[in-house]
Amino acid sequence: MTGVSKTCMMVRRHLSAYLDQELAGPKREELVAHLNHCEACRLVEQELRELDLSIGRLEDIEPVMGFTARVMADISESKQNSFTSPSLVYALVFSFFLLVGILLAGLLMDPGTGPDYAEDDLSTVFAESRDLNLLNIQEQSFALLSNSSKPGITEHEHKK
Amino acid sequence: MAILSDDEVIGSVISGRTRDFEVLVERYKHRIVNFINKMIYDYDEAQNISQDVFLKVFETLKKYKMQDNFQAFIFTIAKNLTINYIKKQKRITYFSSLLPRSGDAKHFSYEAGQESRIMNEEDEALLITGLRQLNENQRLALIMKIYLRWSYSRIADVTGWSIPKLETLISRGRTNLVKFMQEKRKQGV
Repeated sequence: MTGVSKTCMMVRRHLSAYLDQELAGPKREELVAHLNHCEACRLVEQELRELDLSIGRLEDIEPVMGFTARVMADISESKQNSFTSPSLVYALVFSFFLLVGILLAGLLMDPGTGPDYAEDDLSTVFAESRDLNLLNIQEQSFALLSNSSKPGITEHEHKK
Repeated sequence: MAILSDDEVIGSVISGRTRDFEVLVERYKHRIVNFINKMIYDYDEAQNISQDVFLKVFETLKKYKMQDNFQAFIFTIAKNLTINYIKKQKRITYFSSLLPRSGDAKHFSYEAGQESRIMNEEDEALLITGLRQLNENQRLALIMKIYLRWSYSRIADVTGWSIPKLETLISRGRTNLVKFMQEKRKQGV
């Protein structure tokens, strides 16, 4: 662009704020005075005004049907999800481990209140019952042997 | 029946009357959907992002400080989600450009649909194309100023930009858009 004076450049820099009614005081007065005698700057002003009108005329769209209902449904869903928020999950997990810890501590501190036999006790019981069975077998064997060695019977059988 | 202010409705929602949130959705849905659509020009995505905006607003409602400034609160969320979407799309576009062209139609079919919807209005199509080629900050500033008709101070509140920065963004956005349209008209597009 040729022949644009420094004043014109300065005016055009503030032209936008002037159109937006954001320019006041001496700056505004200087700009208005310049526009009154500078046709080139008036032309730029006119182009900017037309641009604003064109942007203002851009067609609006309507929110989709049921927009509000969708938003409210999203909100309702979001509220439900907040019940399973991470903090709540952490709280539940913590509570679970705390409960397990309390139960274990109770067992270790007072075995008498727990089940009748701990694991070691059970193995003892099994061992004892096995020994008892062996004893029974031994007793039965001895009984058989002693019966077979009774003289009355053998004599009687020999007699037969 | 008196119309409740945003803050009064929010107070009711926070106290447990979740259904009252509908009032806010009804009050803001049109502006939010159109603000996002003008940023991205994708009808379906504008609807989806808008729904996400309201969900996010609900989830963060307890962080809202009652200062009769709910509009800034909701548009800040809308702006953030929209910018995130645009950045994500840029990454997808970049990586898609590395792939063979045959796959593009499926990923970007909305663009083709978008064009066909507006091609009967050549100027509008040109303007939309021009808006889309602006960087997202210039586009955001222009839409907040021209579509939402917000003051610079309100835009600065929502975006966190300084007033001089905002003034520059809007000025450059307008200038770039005018140049783009003039060039395209010269080319006969």
